[in-house]
Amino acid sequence: MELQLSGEQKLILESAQRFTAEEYTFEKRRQSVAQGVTVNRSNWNKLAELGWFGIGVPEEVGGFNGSTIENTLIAECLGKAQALEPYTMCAVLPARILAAVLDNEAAQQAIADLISGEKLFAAAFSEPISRGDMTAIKTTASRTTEGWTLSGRKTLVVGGDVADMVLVTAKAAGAAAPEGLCLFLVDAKTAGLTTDGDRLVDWTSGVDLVFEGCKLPADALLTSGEDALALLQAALDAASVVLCAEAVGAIEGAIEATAPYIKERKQYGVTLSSFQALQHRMADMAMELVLARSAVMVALQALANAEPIERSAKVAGCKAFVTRIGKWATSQGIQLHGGYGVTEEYRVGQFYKRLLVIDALFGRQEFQLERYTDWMLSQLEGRLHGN
Amino acid sequence: MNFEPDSADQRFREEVRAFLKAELPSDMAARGRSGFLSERDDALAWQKILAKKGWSVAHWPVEYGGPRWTARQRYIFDEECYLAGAPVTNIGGIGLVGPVIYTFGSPEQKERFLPGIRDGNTFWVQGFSEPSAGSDLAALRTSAVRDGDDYIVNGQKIWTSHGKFGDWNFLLVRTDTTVKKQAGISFLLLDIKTPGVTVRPIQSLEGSHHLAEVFYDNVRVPVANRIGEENKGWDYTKFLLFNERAFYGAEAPALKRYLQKIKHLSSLERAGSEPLIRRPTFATRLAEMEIEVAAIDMTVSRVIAHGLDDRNGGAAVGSILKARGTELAQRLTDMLVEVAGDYGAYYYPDTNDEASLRNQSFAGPEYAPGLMAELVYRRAASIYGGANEVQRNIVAKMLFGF
Ligand SMILES: Cc1cc2nc3c(=O)[nH]c(=O)nc-3n(C[C@H](O)[C@H](O)[C@H](O)COP(=O)(O)OP(=O)(O)OC[C@H]3O[C@@H](n4cnc5c(N)ncnc54)[C@H](O)[C@@H]3O)c2cc1C
Repeated sequence: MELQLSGEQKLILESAQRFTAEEYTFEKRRQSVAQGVTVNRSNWNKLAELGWFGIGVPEEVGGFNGSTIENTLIAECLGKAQALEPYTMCAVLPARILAAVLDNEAAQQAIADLISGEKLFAAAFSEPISRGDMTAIKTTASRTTEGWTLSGRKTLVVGGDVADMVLVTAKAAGAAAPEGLCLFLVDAKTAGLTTDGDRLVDWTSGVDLVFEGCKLPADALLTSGEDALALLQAALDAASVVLCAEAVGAIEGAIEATAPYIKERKQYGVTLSSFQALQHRMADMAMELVLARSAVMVALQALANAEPIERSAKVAGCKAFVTRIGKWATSQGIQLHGGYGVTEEYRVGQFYKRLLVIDALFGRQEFQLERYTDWMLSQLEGRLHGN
Repeated sequence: MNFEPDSADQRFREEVRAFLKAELPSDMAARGRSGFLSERDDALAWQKILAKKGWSVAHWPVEYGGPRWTARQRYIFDEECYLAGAPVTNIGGIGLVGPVIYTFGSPEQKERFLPGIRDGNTFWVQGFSEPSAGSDLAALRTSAVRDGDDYIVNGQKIWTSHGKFGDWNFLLVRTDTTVKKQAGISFLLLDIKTPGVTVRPIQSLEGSHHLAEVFYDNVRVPVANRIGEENKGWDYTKFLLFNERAFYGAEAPALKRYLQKIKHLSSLERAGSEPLIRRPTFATRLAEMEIEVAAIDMTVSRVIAHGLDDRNGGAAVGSILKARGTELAQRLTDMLVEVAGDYGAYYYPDTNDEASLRNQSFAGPEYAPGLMAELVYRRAASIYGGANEVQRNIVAKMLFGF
């Protein structure tokens, strides 16, 4: 085991730090938000040019190798820079899914388009009843003579408003979820596919996708059944960890916005930073940051080594922990800014809102904790039966 | 101590419920329950309905239109209104400046201003905080200089809640710069349409514009609109801030409404095939919060029943309730957003504020808009009314003399 970044990983981190520091300013972000832009395609293309979309994708399917570790380094920088661009949800996640679909021409073309930035991909796997469990879905796919008809509603589809292509899960009509789970690759311009919703509370992209009798060709089905489930779970686990890294970036960003603020701001003739209550608060925030980053590493370790059930459990544990402490730490950034903290004119509040969105993606705490608990108890099975 | 239910209180509760059922318009109640803040029209319209019944200024003395209720009855009234979704009335008028006027104002001021507040004709907004005078309010710098029968006011206020709705503004100004900062402050009442006043809304994190900056550029305020004596404004302010904390600090009725809403919605919402409320970790967290809400509610009841004593925190209890009540409200609204699942992350424009959007339909369940706004808004509750850190300083000082 080596817990230090390799030389190559360091280079990726440094380039991500440099790029985000130069490209992302709060002013530019505010402009995009005011104009209603969720994903700026020219920024998106710049991320593609940096090669970030192929990282974590094996060379044999057109990627640049590397692992989720590198994805987390990039995501952390983007989280800290408050990038609106959905790197985790529209690059890492669909790339993982597509790369795992073997021997499928459409998927291979798609992954090339994704990595080059030519096309933007969204993944539509969640529905109101899912709450993290991707097998709890109602969208149905019915066989027709020409292919498939898809009907249903997907929620929290990041990139759904701007995507060229959408990866969609559905249940084959008449079948129950794991066996009947189908994964489709759908052109966003398909007739019958519409969006509902505006964007997310942190101003990033996210909408409902509504499928009303969408007719898909037979080869739109990429995979199904247990294979689909295993492949999607692995991809969602990896993306979940990358999302947690974004949260780590947001926590760090909130800390870096707040420390100088309270050193500067005076009340009662002294700086706010002279109050011990606030010194301790910031010390606690710093402690949470250290632990959050370590929690991401615990999950990365599970991604690298653990069997699927344990892997998913540890990822869930990481997500539950990082979002809980992340919401707290970023909310304290607001608290220490006083009234200024609750305004759109100060950047600190955006970190908190980002955490609120991260909390919702891939299922919230009750789901994540229960998944972890189930696994933890399963480890004790022998002992429990002994009693 | 005994816990026999009080039948008079129970009858009163029934009476309030019957009134709300008959008089609270259902569209208004839907907006009140949504989580978005009440806006001017609803606040004043509801105030008018209450005034007709003689219930609009629950804690005012009878001679100014109060209904002669006991503290317990007022609490029951607030709670029932909240649970029914009644709009929040103009607290700046009824809760804050009204009592200052009837306690310290001149007979002319009482006659001129109190009826408008009581009957829901004027909307009052509070101009205390300034960019560099927040927690340290006494450091305020907006100046008022005598010129004949007027003061000329110059300066800036910030965080004026509902600033854009204001008809009248009560504000603190510096009238003496040569003395200790608390000793040079006066309390003025200002018609916001006076030339030289500019209101600039501030966008807050949830997307709405309920806060404002107010700029004063050579604004003339008649000396007759000063409360009490010149340079005694700080005394009136302490009185007002005490009321703010005591009456609005814990917001126990709001806590109960959150619980009610979480239970209701999480029974409807499905996690897979089962109701969300059946999820063990979810239910356990909710149970913990319900237990704490009951303790806060009992603390408020103890204060109402026998005032302050050394078993309920004494004079520190206002700060105790403010800090713990707001923090619990933050946890409860967080859970409320969780109930909405994926839709808890969606942005919904403030349809209370933007009447033109009211007929539009939005993605997700009908109840989803407003939940996130309320959660984000609740972040401010541990900042306004005296930041919770300041409340803890007060508790430490009052209880231990630190
Ligand atoms: C939603 C909202 C509505 C408001 N409505 C009104 C209104 O209608 N009218 C009006 O006049 N004002 C209003 N306010 C202003 C409010 O009273 C101030 O925001 C508050 O007093 C804090 O001042 P500040 O924002 O300048 O923060 P600061 O005083 O700069 O304090 C920033 C933070 O520092 C910490 N802190 C401050 N002092 C101490 C201390 N002694 N010890 C330890 N920590 C400390 C706290 O965490 C605090 O949040 C409102 C504010 C908000 C957010």
